[in-house]
Amino acid sequence: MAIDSSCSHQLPDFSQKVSEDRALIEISTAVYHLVAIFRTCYTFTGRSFLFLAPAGPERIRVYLKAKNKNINLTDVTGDFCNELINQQVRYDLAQETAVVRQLIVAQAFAEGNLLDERITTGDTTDDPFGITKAE
Amino acid sequence: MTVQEKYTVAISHRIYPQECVDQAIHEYELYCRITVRSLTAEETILELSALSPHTAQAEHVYDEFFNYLLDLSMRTQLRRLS
Repeated sequence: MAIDSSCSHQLPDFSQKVSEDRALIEISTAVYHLVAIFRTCYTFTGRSFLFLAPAGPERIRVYLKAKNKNINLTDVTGDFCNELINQQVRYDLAQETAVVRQLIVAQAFAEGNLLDERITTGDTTDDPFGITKAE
Repeated sequence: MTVQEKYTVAISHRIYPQECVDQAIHEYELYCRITVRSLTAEETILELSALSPHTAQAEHVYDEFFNYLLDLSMRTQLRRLS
């Protein structure tokens, strides 16, 4: 793949430069949950200055400025967007596994067995729910 | 104390809760004077003026203030959303 070196300092398409040292990223809350956006911002306060402003009911603008002048703004915005995806995936997985995690914690603290006893105490040859007979 | 030129910005309480704004202003009272004006129930205007001896680094003080405010706000918001 050919790389155009003259474009190396341009910001990616999903962001724009608002001043010499500040970039703007507009994020849709229909795509990224607020939890993912806030976690990403929280992790980036160490390496950049951030300011958030709503841009309508389903959009948030993130203004980014690198803390260190030696840090490339393109890299910071790119890393920010990657982290945003990472946090969104973590959020989705947490939602998908929430019930199982709650059950594990509940079982750990419960005195009795919260699950159906036929599942946990049955013989390997038993078929209490008739799964093998189902068509 | 000499006062640097003012920096005005509107902030949304959908992102920055009021209690976090109050705390951040209190924490930065030695670095800058911050005037609060309510715009709507959801929006507040902040007017920041760096105080000496920080006037030479006014922009840096404002950047640090907003990062601190963001830090507080994100922790509060994530507690609420979790």
